[in-house]
Amino acid sequence: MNKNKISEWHTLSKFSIQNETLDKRQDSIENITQRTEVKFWLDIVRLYIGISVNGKNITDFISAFSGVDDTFPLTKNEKLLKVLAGMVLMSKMELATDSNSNNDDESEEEKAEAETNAPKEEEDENEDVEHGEIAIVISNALVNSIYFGQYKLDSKVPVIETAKAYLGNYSFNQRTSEIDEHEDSLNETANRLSEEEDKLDSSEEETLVKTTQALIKENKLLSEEVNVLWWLFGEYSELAEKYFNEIEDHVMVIIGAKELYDLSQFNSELPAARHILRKAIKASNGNGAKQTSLKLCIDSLSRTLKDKILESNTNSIDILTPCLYALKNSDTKDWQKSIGFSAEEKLNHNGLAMQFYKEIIFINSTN
Amino acid sequence: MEAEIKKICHQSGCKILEGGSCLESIDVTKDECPHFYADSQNDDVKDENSNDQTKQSTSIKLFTGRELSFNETSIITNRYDSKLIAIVGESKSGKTTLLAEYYINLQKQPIKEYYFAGSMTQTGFEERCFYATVGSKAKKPDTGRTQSREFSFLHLALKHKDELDKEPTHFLISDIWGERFREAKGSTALMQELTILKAADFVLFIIDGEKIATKATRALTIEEAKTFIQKALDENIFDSNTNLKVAVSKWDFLHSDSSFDFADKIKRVFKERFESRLGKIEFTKLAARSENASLEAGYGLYELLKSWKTENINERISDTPEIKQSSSRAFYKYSLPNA
Repeated sequence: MNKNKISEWHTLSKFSIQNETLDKRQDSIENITQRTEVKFWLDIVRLYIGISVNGKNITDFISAFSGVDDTFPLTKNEKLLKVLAGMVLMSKMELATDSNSNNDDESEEEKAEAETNAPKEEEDENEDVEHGEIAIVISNALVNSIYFGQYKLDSKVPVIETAKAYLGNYSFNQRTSEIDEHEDSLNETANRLSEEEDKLDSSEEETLVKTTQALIKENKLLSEEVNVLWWLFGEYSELAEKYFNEIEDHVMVIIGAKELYDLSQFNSELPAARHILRKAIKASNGNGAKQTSLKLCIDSLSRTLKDKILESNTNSIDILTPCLYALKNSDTKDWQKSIGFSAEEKLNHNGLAMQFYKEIIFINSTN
Repeated sequence: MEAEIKKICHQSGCKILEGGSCLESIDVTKDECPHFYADSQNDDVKDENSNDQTKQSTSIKLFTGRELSFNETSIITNRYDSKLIAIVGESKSGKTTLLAEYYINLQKQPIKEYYFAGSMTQTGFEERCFYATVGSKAKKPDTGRTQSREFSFLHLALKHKDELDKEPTHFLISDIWGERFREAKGSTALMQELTILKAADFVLFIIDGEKIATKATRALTIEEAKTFIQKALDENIFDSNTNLKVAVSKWDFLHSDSSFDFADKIKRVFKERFESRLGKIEFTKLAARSENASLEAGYGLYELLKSWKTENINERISDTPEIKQSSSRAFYKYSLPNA
């Protein structure tokens, strides 16, 4: 991570920092960034957004800084730890982004050195995938957890905006196939073979493999699109076993989110999800009210539907997914007091449905 | 025979031992100065002679309650979210008076809904307020001058009356020495030393209302203010992140002056020239110690405090992220923002 950025964030957060300490902080941040345990990173997210968290992960986090810096404050350091957590999260998302772009940039070199470096490449690829997966978990956790404004994000490190951008790019990349790029090469190969009746050379074989992969992806994309469009066209919910117009709009907020996730072929948000959910809710049985609340939506849901929505994820659900957490606890007495925010706040149907949808994606991506 | 104890001044910048005067005009012979005490190094030398085993200084720096250096602010910033306010303006424009008046008013009662919730620099505030108290024997309330070239910070914690069970808002306020302001206007090097302005969440730029009220100095005073802001922009000390509030102090001198149009001469002029290059520019009028019977004392102080207290300075989170990518797939074209 760029030293100037670290310095700037310290200054903006009003921490006085000398050059020597700055070097140590940079090293510590880079060391922590290499970690790949999901639980560790979720604890760092909790630390950043201000959820009380203790345990080995936090001790490790603090030790990474205090172990190399004798002046690091071990008490009365709550704000400093939050800001450093923010920097570490930024660093992880940056590393994942760099890994992805390096993969794209180095594809030609990799081709040239394919044979000699094959084992090493395999290792690197695995590492990159891990960074990318962790970055997705981090981004989802950050964006989902703050929906109700229940946490005070007192930091000038642009963590949330970076997480939103990362999720947007990830979704876009997942749903972009490179099939058009291979078309010309395939045509050339087909022309050559028709004239020379020769075997495929290695580059042509590689193009063929990549084209096949792109075709598979394209098929998944089309399948996702068609399934979603048929769902909207048919206006029928398999979960509720009813037509949309027989389902209350408060219920549709949650059911729609779950069914849209089930129709997805990828573990990221559909770029058009907000608008698809809007259409599904519009087709449901609303009483004309423009707003709803989390409590109203949850109270309108039957026990059977709650179980279908929570599925096997119950154990992983906590306050990082506030809507699902409320749903999970909704059978307990005084559940509203245990969730840490007001479930009666008036919200837009569509916005709440999107939040459920994002939380369902997140909870499934961590399992 | 009792050895003479050598004393030195432990306050940086004080020239008392070099034949100069005490930085704070205190008579050190009466043991009244908290900085003038036995030299610990001298102690060490004596100890070394008598006992070689004792090598280290035994002096402990006690909590003074005075202004904090930037390093020392970590006792606040490491623990709490805090708002850093830098006050700039010419000498005697009313920077320190503003701070002193906040402190004096908070000692009497809350400033409307804002309650005093503590300060790590009460001695620093007291020093600034001294000349406004009866004890100073001054003929009328005055304020001690900021004299240090180093940035120093006063700490003030406030709570809203409806949020007494919550954490207070912590303010770190630095009033920059007027002389330093004057020098920085004409010097790139000195302007670039004002890095504190870059880190500040709010910059309060004070223009001396008394000088504006005098027609002979009006144009020059406004021009010098513009020169400073322009220089700060040119040297990247001010930029698109700067939250600048331009205040005309001593408004009691201008309150009844129909020849001065605040909206035209200050607001319009400064907005037109600087708004596009700053994060935010706002304007206010202040009369911390009004001598005009038709204008209440402390005029503008509450509104200024409220703006500092309520404005969110941290990461701003937009509801809908911009969709930057474009796709040829109709399915994704459907994904228009805010539809």
